[in-house]
Amino acid sequence: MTNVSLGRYVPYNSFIHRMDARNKIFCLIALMVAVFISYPTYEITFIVGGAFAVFVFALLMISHVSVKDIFKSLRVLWFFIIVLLIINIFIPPRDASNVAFAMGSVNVYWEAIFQSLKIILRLVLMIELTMILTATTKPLDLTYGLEWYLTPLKLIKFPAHEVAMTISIALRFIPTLLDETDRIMKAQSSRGVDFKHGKISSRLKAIVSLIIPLFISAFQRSEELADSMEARGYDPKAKRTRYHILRFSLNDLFTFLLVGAIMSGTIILSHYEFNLQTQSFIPWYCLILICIFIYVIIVGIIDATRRKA
Amino acid sequence: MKLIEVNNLVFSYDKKINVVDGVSFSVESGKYISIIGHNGSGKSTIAKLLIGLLEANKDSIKAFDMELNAKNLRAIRQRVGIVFQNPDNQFVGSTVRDDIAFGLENRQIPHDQMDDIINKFAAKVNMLDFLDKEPENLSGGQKQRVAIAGILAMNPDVIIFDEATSMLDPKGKREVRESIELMRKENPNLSIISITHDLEEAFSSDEVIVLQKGKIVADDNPENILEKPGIFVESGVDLPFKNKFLNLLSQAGIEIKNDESLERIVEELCR
Repeated sequence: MTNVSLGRYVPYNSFIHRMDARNKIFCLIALMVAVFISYPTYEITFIVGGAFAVFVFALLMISHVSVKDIFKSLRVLWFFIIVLLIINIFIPPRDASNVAFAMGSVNVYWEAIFQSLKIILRLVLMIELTMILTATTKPLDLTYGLEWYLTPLKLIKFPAHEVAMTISIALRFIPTLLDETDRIMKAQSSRGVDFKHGKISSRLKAIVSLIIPLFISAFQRSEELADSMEARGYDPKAKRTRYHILRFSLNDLFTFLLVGAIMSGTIILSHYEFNLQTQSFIPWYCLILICIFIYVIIVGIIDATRRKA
Repeated sequence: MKLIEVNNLVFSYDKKINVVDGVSFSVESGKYISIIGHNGSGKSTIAKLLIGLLEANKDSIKAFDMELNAKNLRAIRQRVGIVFQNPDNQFVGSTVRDDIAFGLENRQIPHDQMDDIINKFAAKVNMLDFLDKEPENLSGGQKQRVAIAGILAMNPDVIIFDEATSMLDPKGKREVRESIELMRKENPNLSIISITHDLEEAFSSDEVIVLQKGKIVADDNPENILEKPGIFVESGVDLPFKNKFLNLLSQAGIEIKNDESLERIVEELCR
């Protein structure tokens, strides 16, 4: 529980770490839009999805997120994967016509399997993209980035700074609260509470014995943190200077354009009806792959040069 | 010079029982005051009242010639810092550097001066090598030293330690105590109010205030306080082992000087 990877900042000086937090937020949203775009055929969905998977994996490597952490972050998905498979198998898509195999009286369609895989791929990519953002951006920088985007809403009295600060503190306290959960679980287990075995009703009772002390502790922590912040002169309404100043560099411009190109490329792609048999698809696919590889190589070279320096 | 004056301070959480009941004392420049008492005696409440986290009764707290009220709160907080008990719950930044910077940002210190201030005060508490570490990678003592650096960076005249060592292991306690000693050596005008259960720590201060049920039962220098062990029994505070031991020896007719170390006392007894 103590080494949960999702939402944890990984200190390193990579190219992505040095990017402007505002640009990283834009890139995350743009790439998520690109990932969630629907394509006319399953072939193109999986080819683009696969290319995205390679791209995201390369970004994770550049960010120095360990492979172990990547797998750990995906552990939460198991439950969704099973539920999705069950739903899609028993309620297949309307256009389902190709039977893959039969389970007793129930036919399992290829379309249902593809539909599940498509959603799983999207979820995995979404989690990993978020992981890149949180692993390479300090919570405080993230706050500044979010606040920058929310600034126009200040005109309608939206508490932009307060919202951004709340998110930043929530991110900062994820590991602390996970440690606390672990401690309470151990304490309750030592008193005979079994979280892993038994009927659902008894396991629910066990979870209640975890949640109540956890909530009490979280409220106490938040009160003490508020006292500490106030005592250190924090006033959300008052003017503050900033230790971290966000700077939009040339690297940021480059990635901004590249991500913009990827997003618009996927939007264009979603309007063309081609599949693997369509001749015109091959150059497009090659172009996407070449772009990704060029990007990864350039970033790798920049990173290596900076590290040497 | 009196920095803080507390006069007939009264406070109640439920408007029925006074947690702090008619407390009066003053904090002079460069003084180290310890406030001791059993759980629920009102020690931490006094700390929160002094920093304005709880609202005190009218005209009861005067700090730097200003009444502690909503109008002067900001100005007073710029000169009084507080280190709380739980090191985890006062770490706002994602790294040591960011956490020290948090107070500076609130004080509107210009960005270009921040790095120098952070480095200077991190060095003072021996945390210069940990500037980019996250709170999860620090021990309790280290986190508490970061909190001290964060407060010192705000250049206060008074620092309140609200049971700042109670959640730490012996090593962490020693580290924090050493940081306090160094602070006092470097800035003799810095006043410290230490709210503590640790009597050994309390007896290294200039003045000890003993609280019982929200009232002051003793306010004197440590030597005079130690001469009245009954105060500790009444207020539910346990004497340090050495003093307890010496009192028992004294009752048995063996007189040994109080300023001897425990090892020397044992040697003396063996002889």
